[in-house]
Amino acid sequence: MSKIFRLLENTLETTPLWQETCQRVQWYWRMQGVRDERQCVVLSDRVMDRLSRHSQLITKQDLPYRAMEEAQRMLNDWLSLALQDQHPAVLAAGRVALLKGTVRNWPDRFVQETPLATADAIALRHALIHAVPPDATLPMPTQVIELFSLQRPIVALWRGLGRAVLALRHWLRQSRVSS
Amino acid sequence: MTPRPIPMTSHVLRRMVFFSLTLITTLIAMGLLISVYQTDGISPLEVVLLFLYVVLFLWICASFWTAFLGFFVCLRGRDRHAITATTPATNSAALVIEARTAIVMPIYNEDPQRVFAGLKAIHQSLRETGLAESFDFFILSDTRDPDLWVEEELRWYRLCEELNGQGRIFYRNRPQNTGRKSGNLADFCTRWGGAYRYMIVLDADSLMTGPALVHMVRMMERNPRVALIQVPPVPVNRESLFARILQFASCVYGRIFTAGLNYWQLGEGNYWGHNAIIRVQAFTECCGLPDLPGREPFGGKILSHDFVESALLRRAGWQIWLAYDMGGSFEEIPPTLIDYAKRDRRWCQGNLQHLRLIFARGFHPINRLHLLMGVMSYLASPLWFLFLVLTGIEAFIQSRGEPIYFFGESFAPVWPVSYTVEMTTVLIVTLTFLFLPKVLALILLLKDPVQRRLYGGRFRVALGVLLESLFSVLMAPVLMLFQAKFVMAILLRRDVGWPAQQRGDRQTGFKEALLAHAGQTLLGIAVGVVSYHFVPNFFWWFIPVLLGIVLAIPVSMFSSNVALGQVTRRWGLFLTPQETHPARVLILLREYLDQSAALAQSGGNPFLLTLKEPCANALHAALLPNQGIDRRRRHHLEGLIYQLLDYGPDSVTATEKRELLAHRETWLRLHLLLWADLDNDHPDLSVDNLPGAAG
Repeated sequence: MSKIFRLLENTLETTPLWQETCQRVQWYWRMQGVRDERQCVVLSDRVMDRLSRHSQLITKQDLPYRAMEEAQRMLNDWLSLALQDQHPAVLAAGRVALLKGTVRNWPDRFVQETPLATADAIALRHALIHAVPPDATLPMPTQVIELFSLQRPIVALWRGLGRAVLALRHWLRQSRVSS
Repeated sequence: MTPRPIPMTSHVLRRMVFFSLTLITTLIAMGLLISVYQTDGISPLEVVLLFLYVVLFLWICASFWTAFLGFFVCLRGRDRHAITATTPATNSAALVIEARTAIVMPIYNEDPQRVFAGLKAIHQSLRETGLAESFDFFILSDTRDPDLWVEEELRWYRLCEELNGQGRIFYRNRPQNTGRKSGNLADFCTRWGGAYRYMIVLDADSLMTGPALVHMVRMMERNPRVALIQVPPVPVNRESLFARILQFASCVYGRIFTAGLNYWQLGEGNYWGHNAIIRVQAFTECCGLPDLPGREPFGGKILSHDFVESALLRRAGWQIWLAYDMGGSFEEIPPTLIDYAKRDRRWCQGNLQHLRLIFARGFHPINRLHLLMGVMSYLASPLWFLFLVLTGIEAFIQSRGEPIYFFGESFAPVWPVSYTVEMTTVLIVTLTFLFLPKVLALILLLKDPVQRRLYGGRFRVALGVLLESLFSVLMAPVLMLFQAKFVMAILLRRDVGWPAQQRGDRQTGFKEALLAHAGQTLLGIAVGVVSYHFVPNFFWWFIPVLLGIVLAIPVSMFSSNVALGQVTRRWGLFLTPQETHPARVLILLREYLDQSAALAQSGGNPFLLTLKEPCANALHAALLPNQGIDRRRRHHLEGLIYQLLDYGPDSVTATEKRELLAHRETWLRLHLLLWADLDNDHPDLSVDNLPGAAG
């Protein structure tokens, strides 16, 4: 069984696609801010190496996407240690902070697979973008606006008339009784 | 120490003066017209005409007496009851402001370049006061356009970087723009309002100087019963002839109108929707707007929220003031007549909706008057139109009538009495009330040598007023027809189909002018021919109205011309103080706009940039709120991803782009799929053309 896997792996690794993917990953690292060519090669090799471990599960079509996904996962895993958070929004903010050069020479640490120094990690956490401040909620109750309606005065008039009729009737009855 | 409250006698006296003058002059004009009509008994048509005239004259009268009283306030130099009198303006940073203030700018599909350049200018001006630490900025985006959305994010981030504004300049885009602008502000108040004592509301094209912002906060601090202070914005920065004339008119005449308004409204002022400071606690307690019963146009969401919010604040006992003499408050106006009409279209429905609120229970009478004035600013147009049509019919009937010289058995002839004097008096009074405020404003300006110089000198400013008056005569009937059409369309629940408003300078082309004004021109010609044929005497009286309508197309095109606006500026015509001696914030805006224009040219499409470039992509992902989605939606988004990848970004609609952008997981997946697409040679989607690409 393992022989078959090995065979498959070798097959994929020897294809031009593997090389092209490797180059694309290198380029992706450059775009992520890894300036040193050698570091890009090391990192892309690491990505491809991780992939080759389970290449039996990867189709040819899938390879480039899996490689890119792996590259991002690698960076996110490393970042989550520094940020002490794994939320995708926080990790994305962390990537922005890294790319903007908050921590100098971070690729060295990343290539060596060592976490960021404490001071750097704190600086990174401080540099995370906060698009909105912490919530400071206030209730805003919906107001009642009583619109003018003809119904109200008509009802009032009707009731008034009713009361007047009753009073009149009562007065007539009283006057009849007294007479 | 809180300032002494204004005595009740001042309130009563000022309002008595204003309302008495308005009512007495209306009654006199009505009397004159009745004396004309009653020659041979008043016909039903004349009763209608009389009614229309009284309503319209009342409206003109209120405006005239406001300006007249404002003229005297300005002549005296100050109003001792003005809100600014309670707190002197000072630039001293030593007077620390303890209260935190949020400067909020609700935006909806606006030009991000202008929005962020404006904010940067305001921020810089505020920083120069030394009190910027007391203020936070909020860009409250309701933008639906996906390209603009991501551009806003990129510009916000850049602004934070440039100004070191992280934690003080905030940005959020609402997933749903429920309740439009008022909903946007309500969302701010309920989520973050607790952290701020005041908020200063700005529009996308608003500008305020740092000293003005600080002064507003100080006035609020000194007057704890005041919930809102409105600072009248002065229109600036446009260069087309149309806009320059409007800017000039607003600068020259605006002062006496706002001074007059403040004279009689005092603490029962109004809110104009932007360039105002609001006490957050009071606003949240009183201004949660309900939906009106029934369906549109009169039911549903309250569209013009500002007038209603001020009425609600007043109902709860808070004061609202107009700081008419403060300065440092600016806005930009539509550049062409057509854009101006488009803005009117948006405002018209909201203002007509106020018809239902005028008699709402508990509102202060002055607030009812504000609501009525808002309604009348649009309803006056169809009423004028009706008045003119009925006057034509009345003239036709009069021209057909044969005079009767002998009644009964009398031998002496009864000569028809001429009422030319009375009729001419009515006309002269009406025209005087329309044009005298302009003369008063000119007198005031000519009196002040400093102001005179700022407007280009005595001769130029007088010529400017004369030309502006002629231009307004041409414009008035065109705007009347536009507004009458909008009112009718709203009442008939019809969409008149105006696209989004254009804010930057641009020129009206022939096709656009033809589409907008062809109907008006034809109507003008038809009315001219009919009146000339049937009532020639009336035709000559009618010429000023007809001229504007018949010439609408060339005037609209001609006035939109930016080059012509610049030429008049070189000649020193229609100059405003903000052109001759601009405020620092306006200079900063120009500078930042130039800088950001250069950046925009090198930036490319922001949507594609955010899709491909890892940093921009991560930035967008970081700003998205957490949203769970069901399986059905996930499949829908998956379909959109492949549609975009296979057929290019143009194959998906703006709404679909927004859907892709709005979900973090989908957006990150699309980014990776794009990078993984090794064979993609689509010019928009290939990552090969990213800056710095070497692969």
